[in-house]
Amino acid sequence: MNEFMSALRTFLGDMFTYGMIAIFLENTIFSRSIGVSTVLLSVRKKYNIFLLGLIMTSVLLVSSIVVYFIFPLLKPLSYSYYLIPPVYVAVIGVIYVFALLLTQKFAKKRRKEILSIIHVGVFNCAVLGALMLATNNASASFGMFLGFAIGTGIGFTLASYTVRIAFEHLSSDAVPESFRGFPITLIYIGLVSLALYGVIGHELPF
Amino acid sequence: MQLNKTFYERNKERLQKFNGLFMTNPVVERGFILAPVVAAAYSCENAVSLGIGFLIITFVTVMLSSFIPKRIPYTIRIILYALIGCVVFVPTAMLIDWIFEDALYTVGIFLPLLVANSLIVVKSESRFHKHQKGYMAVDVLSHTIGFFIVIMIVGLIREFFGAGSLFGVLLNQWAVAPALLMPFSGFILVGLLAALCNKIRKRIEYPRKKEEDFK
Repeated sequence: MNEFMSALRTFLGDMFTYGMIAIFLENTIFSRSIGVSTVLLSVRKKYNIFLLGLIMTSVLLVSSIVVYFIFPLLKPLSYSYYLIPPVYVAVIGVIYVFALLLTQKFAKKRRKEILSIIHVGVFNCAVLGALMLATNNASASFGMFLGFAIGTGIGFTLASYTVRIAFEHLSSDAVPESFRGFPITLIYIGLVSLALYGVIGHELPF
Repeated sequence: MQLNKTFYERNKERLQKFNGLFMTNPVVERGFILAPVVAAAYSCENAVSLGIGFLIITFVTVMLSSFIPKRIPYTIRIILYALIGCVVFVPTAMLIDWIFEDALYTVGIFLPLLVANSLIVVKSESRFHKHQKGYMAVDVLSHTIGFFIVIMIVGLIREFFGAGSLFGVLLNQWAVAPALLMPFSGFILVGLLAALCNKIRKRIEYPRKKEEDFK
């Protein structure tokens, strides 16, 4: 019983730590800009960001479980670098099809809304990138894998929300026309990224 | 009246297929494929590697994917596009590895990520595949070259002012700010470039508009 509790504590601890890392330290949007195009698209088209984030987190969670068991088979191969993208794309593709079928069958209230954004939430660089980043840490435990996947999804949602709350102001007439909308939003994301870089404890190299 | 029109106004229709170079540039106008430009294009070598990678992967994938029949459901088509991208990725990565020794290591996950880039996953259906093959080829090529130009400009500026070198050759020792090599600088630099391009684009599109109207 004690061993089980200790293993559970380690699992939850790993999951929490890697979740926090994925949300703040290695937020895919602010630290690597992976998925920024998706964020900008969802903000511009006024998609439901929390629903999009939920779809993405769920897909990431399921695909990371699959990838966790597939990766040890790919890792020893000398050409694994070339094999990883098609395998991960295939995994995401299968989950995408299942997600669509599940939505068609079970979603009643929000079916139309989910179907209109599911392709954006599932098939994007952030999902593929998160899987690749997770497997970069080859010695990661199952808890770390799950934590990183959930954290990436939550981090994406928070980043999208951060951009959404500012986007209307950044697209207003108060901003010079050349900067209005997309250019100033990128500068804004850059400043938030810089702030996060400082909050984490890094020092600027100049 | 025709004489008063600018070159762009007179040839707007004919220039449509070259719009990807500047007027609808995928990075600075549309905000697509930002990750490699912002996070990985901090040196000229990385910029060239990713630029070549993007050009080959996107061009060949979009062209090949146009042969996939439309009667296949959209969901499956999108997955097939990305899988074609994965197949094209293999020789492309080998080529880049052959040109630059450590490129695959320094660009990290950003090269394989190009297999699911927005031009393949989103724009193939909504733009490229709606045209004839010849027009589509020029259109895709102009978009990919447009990306190449932007990533090269960003790579050049960041390496020159961030590391004081160009393609690894030390040239600048008086104005070096290593923070330019960080992703946040990439965001700000691309944002400034996008604003500059917006200004020029407005001038091309509305040449007779007064300066105050642009503010």
